[in-house]
Amino acid sequence: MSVLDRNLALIKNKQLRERLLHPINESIDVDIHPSKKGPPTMKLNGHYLYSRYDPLKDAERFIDSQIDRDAHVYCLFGFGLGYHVQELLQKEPDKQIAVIEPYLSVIRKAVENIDLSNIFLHPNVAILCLEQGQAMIHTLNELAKQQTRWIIPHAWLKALPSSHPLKCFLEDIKIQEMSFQRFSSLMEKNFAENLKYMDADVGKLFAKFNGQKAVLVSSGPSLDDTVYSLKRLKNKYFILSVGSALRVLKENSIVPDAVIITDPQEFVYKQLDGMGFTQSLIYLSTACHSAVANHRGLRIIAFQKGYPQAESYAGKKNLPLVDTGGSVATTALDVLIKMGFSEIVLLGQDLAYSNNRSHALYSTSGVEVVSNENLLSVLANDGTMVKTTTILSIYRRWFERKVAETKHVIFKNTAEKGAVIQGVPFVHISEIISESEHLMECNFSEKINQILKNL
Amino acid sequence: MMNLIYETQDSFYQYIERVASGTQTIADYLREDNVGEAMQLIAQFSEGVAWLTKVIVLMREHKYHINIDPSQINGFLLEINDGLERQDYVIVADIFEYEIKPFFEEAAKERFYQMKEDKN
Repeated sequence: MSVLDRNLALIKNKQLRERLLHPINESIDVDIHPSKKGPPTMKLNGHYLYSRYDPLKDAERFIDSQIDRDAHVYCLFGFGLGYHVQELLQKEPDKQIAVIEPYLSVIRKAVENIDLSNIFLHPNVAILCLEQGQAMIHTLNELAKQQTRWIIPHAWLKALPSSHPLKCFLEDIKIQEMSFQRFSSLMEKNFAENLKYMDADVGKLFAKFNGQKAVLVSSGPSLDDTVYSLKRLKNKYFILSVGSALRVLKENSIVPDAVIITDPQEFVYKQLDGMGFTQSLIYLSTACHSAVANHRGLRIIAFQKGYPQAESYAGKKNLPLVDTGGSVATTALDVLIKMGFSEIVLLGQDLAYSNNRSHALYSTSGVEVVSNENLLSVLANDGTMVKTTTILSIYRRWFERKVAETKHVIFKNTAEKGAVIQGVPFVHISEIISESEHLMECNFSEKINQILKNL
Repeated sequence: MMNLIYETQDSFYQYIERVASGTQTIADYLREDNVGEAMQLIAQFSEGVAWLTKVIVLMREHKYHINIDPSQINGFLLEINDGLERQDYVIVADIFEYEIKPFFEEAAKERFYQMKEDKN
């Protein structure tokens, strides 16, 4: 009996077995060849899923790093040659394991070449091939309700074509996981230090600005074209600037009503140090604590969803949470929405490398001249195509989702050469200036002071 | 001057041993999808090997030779760059663990020796 026949005979999922018996027509490139150590390795769409030298050791190390004793269920993306499943079974034999594999050809290659009997015989393993449509969506939803540990190998995600419907969704999860993993100890330290300051929480400002308008200033290259407007918008629009744009504003003699910082890293300190900024600083509970300590104005802390310590602290104190979306501008947008503004205008929110530059001149993030051919191309507000990156595209999708679910707020984008954000129409900055002439003046800094003083 | 030469050689030997163990850490981080940590170490690695190459070249000027080929180190850096650009971290981890690490483990056994002056 061949490996293929033995494997097929053991597959419990009848539908999957039937499909594997018939010719498969999928436009993917699956290659399998022996590794230097012996066991085969697999290449999917030109990307190796496992080491070319020792694929089993590679799989073992990866799975070791993914074990979560608190998880009830594991959901592993990519069946590959079954190595990750085998390892997971060895380490967590008593837990349910759902394996999602979008390509039948991959499973076919594995069943032809590897003895997978222990996987197919194991009662806790379910292998799902993505073409199973609605059933797949239902399964993912069910998994999301449980304490599930999602395992998305980076190599597999890279191999998944951009056109695949799951790609964006999984990239979102992966990026958040990777950034959390990278900065977890720094975030923990910042959280502990920041709590000591006992600052007022941003929730005190929520729903206090109903009917007023705000500008969110980011440091994309288009800010150079629109920054002048802020002198006219001051005291008409609440001006919230991200940390890296503060220097651009200073160079143009503009003082924002508040600055927001979210990044845990030390470079944030430099964004604010020496800028002479003494208005409100809104900071995420895990943001760079030395930047917070160094601030000479009012400080306002924000607790975020998705960071267990912040969630637990906020839960105990009955404080509201903010959505972070992974970047400072996405967090800022959620804060502005929750503060109650009826219109939010985006300045310098290019989400692309407009004019082949990464940031506005004078931005403390530095201006990088971009010439990488591997960048993605997206439609810009002026109808041209503009270069962007995966991470900026992820933030753009976050903006689009947020805007779609926030029907009561009007959003406007002033980045002419920036990426189109669905739901945020482009409006020329001159129009914003003329509209502002009819607005009532408000000293926003004073208003914040009053709100927090009256608590 | 001689002291400086010997001190530099000592630092070179100490550093090269650390590079060998560091390459395994980079490979491990990459295999765990801990890309951020790996990137930081890769940046330090590139600076470190640039220093090693510089020392090899400077020592040659002072007639000290070591049996390590700087062009091979450069070749590794090019391979790594290529893998990083394609975000193919499996290949990059393989290069660190199975090509660079053995290279530096061998290199750590080498010592500088003084070349004889050319009498002609």
